[in-house]
Formats: sequence, C-alpha cells, structure tokens
Amino acid sequence: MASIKTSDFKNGLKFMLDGDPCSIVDNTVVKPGKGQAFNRVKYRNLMTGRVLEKTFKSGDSVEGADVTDINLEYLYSDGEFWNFMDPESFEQYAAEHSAIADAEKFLVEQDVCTVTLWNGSPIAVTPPNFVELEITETDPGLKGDTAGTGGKPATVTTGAVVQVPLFVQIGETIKIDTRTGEYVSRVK
Amino acid sequence: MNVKALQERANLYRQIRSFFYQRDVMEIDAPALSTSAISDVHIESVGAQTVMGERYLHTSPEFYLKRCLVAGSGDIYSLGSVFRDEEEGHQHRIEFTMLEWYRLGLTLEGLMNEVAELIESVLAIRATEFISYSQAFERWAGIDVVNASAAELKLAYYDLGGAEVMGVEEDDRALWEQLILTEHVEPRLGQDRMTFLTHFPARQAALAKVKNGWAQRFELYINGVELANGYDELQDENEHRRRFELDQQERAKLGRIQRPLDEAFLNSLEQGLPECCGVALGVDRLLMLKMKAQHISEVRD
Repeated sequence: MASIKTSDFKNGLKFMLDGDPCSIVDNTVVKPGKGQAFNRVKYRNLMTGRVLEKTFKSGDSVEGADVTDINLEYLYSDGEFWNFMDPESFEQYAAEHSAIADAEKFLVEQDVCTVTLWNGSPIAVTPPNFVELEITETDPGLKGDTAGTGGKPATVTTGAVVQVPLFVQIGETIKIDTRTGEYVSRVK
Repeated sequence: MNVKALQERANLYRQIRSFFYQRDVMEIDAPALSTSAISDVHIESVGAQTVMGERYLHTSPEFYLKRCLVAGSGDIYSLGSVFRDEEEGHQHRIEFTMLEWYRLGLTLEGLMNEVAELIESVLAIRATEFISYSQAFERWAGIDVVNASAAELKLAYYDLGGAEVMGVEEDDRALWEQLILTEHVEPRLGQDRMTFLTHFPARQAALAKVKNGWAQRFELYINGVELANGYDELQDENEHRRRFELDQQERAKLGRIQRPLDEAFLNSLEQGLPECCGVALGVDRLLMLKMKAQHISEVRD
C-alpha cells in the first residue's frame, strides 16, 4: 500500500499501525504559531474495535491499509466459519469468529450485513440496524398488560436475550435494534 | 455560506478600524505578493507563478510594515489575509486573517494592555492574567522548564497523560518542551479570561529583543486558544541576519526548502527601525471565540 502523509489525514482514512489496520475517527492539527506541527489523531483499531489516541509529527508518513466495507448476504455458519455472499457477483467470503464477535447474536440468514474486508478477508461484521427474530423462550406475561410498563427477558432463535414487554409471548417475532440490542416492536 | 458569520466579520472589522482610528494608528494595505519569503523553521510560504517569475504570498505583513516604520510611517496596522502552506485544521487555514499592529510609544506591557482593551470591546471579557513561560510550566506541568533535560520533559509529558507520540527523538528537547506546552499547559490558559504568557526562553525569541536571557515576547490565550503573539521588536540589523541564518541552517537540517530572504527589509534596517512593539492577532480565531465556533470553517469560507 502507498504511504500516506499526515497532511492527507481525514476521518475514515484507513492506515496500518503496529501491524493492525486502523481507521481515523478524529484528526486535529496542533501547531503553535512558530512551532512544529503535530496531528493529534483518534483512531479505531479495526481488529480490536478499541478507540485510541496518538500524536504524529506532521510531515511524517504512515502506511495505508487496504480496507473496504462491502454489503454481503449472510448465508450460514458451520460453527467454525460464518459464510457470506456478494448478492451481485455471488462471490463467497468466510469470516472467523473473531470478525463476527458480538454480531453473532443478530445474524439472520439472507440479511445483508456490512462486512469490513482487510486485504480481501473479513475482519468485522455489522448486522443491519434492525433484525426480526422469533422468541423461543420467555416467561408467560400477565394477561391484559398491553401498556408494556414492565419488562421481562426473552431469548430469540439466535440466542440473543432482549428485554421485552410482558405481553410478548413465545413464538412471536419481534423487531430488534442491533445497535442498542433493544426491543422495538412486535412483527405481525 | 453563513451570512451570520459574514455580518459578524464585517462588524468586527468596523470595530477594529474604529479602535485604531481613535488611537491615530494608520492602516497599511500590505502587498500580499513578494519576491522573497520568510526563514521561520516551521512556517511554509505559498508560492505563486507569475510572468515576472516566482513570487510568494506573505505569511504575515511584518516585513513590509517594518519597512513602513523605517520610512517614518509612525504607528500602523494591517488587517487582511495571510497564507501559510500545510496549515489546515480546526483552528488553522492556509489562508487566514491577521491583524498586525506596531506602536512606537508603547512598552510591551503597554501593548499587552492595548490588546486587552481591543479584546474586551469584542468579547466582553475583562479579566486579564500575566504569567511567565516558566511559571506556567511550573504550575501546570510541575516542571522546571529551564533546567529540565529532554528525558525529564518526555517523562513529564507522559506522566501528565499525553497521548503516545510518533516520530519524535528521545533527545529532541525542544519538541518535548513544545508538546508539554501544547498538550498540558495551553489548554489551561485563558479560562474565561485573557492570559498573557510572557518571558519566553531566548531560543524562542524569533524577532523579539532578548533581555536578561528572556525573549521580550508575549502570547495571548483565551480558552486555551493561542490568539496573539507580540514582541518588543528587535532593531539590530546584524542580529536579524544572524537569526535568519540560524533558521536557514535549521531548515537545511530538516530538509526544508530555503527561500530567498527579504533583502529589501534587511537593508532597510541599516537606516534604523524605530524602537517599537508589535503584535499579530488571529482574527478568525477571535471571531470563533465571539461566535462560539468549534471549527474555523464556521467563520471563514
């Protein structure tokens, strides 16, 4: 990959640091009138997801990272790999569990996910903002509670546990916001 | 385009011009295009190709204004765009607005008071505070900046929670000192007041006089933002040439281009620059403070 000068730093730029691909979250130039300029950079390590901070001497270079986000359809998992397909080219990608991480509990077959590729291999998977999943286990709620004032835990087919209103029952399908892990509504 | 920002800017310019009109300070329209540049180690001129050959956009109107002073202009100011390449960020633009003025009858203290009067009329901040460079390091970083070694400065930088720094040598004393200043000291300066940082180390004198080992220079901070930089102006021609030469050597060491020096300015010094104090103030940053803007693009297109 080409080297990238600090003057080309901008949010979302992908670069290599200590062997890991990273993405710039915030770039601030710090320069006293008469002094050396520095770039104060907040970045996300795309392998660990952690946001860190480093200060680069302006004029220095970093190595670019071949990182792209693409939309892929989730196919299935064999327990070792999670398989995705490009709905246009039909090309398939196998992601390891480290790339799936927390997304596992919201992966629904045929849903289109955003997959981050580094040198062509998946390193992170972001499920759609909303998924629809069926409840497999929850305590029976109180009859007549339609206001949803209280709540109870419910397990869905993928194993995710979400807080749902008391009136929601086993066998019903619910809509979940994957960013917060919260119940949104019942799906008729 | 933000019309509110355009109006605020127009109001500010009117205020500034009336401030100097009342004090009998003459406005100078300094040429932006010049055959020569500056030698500052960390300031890059913007070049321009013309039919007359290579030209440079001024990085400040300083040299032209000083030639005016030599010619007998008396008190003067200039308000307009200046250009510094490679400077882009929340508080930096390659093209930005500078207000620069020179006073023959004022001491450095007198000039600081005049800066405070101007700021007070714009921002309605009254409180002022004066703190020396070494006092500020002592108070906010707990370090004796004059005697500390590079290793001690580096340690202090990290002890205070500074983010990991890439590309700075272990023994680069000047840069570790600068990092403590920008990361740990500056953010504390000028909290709801004007803080004048004074008595800079002699090696940071730029074009200020040096007395008793201290550069006769100040910087003004408001809410952690460096807003103005003032000098008791150096007059000696040979000392000018010596400092420019040191700058050029440092630039060569860092592999930076050495641009032609302003000989017209240097030659004018033979006739004698009158004793004076001068200050340059970042007008876009002043406008940012007035409008509580986070990014310079909110006040300048």
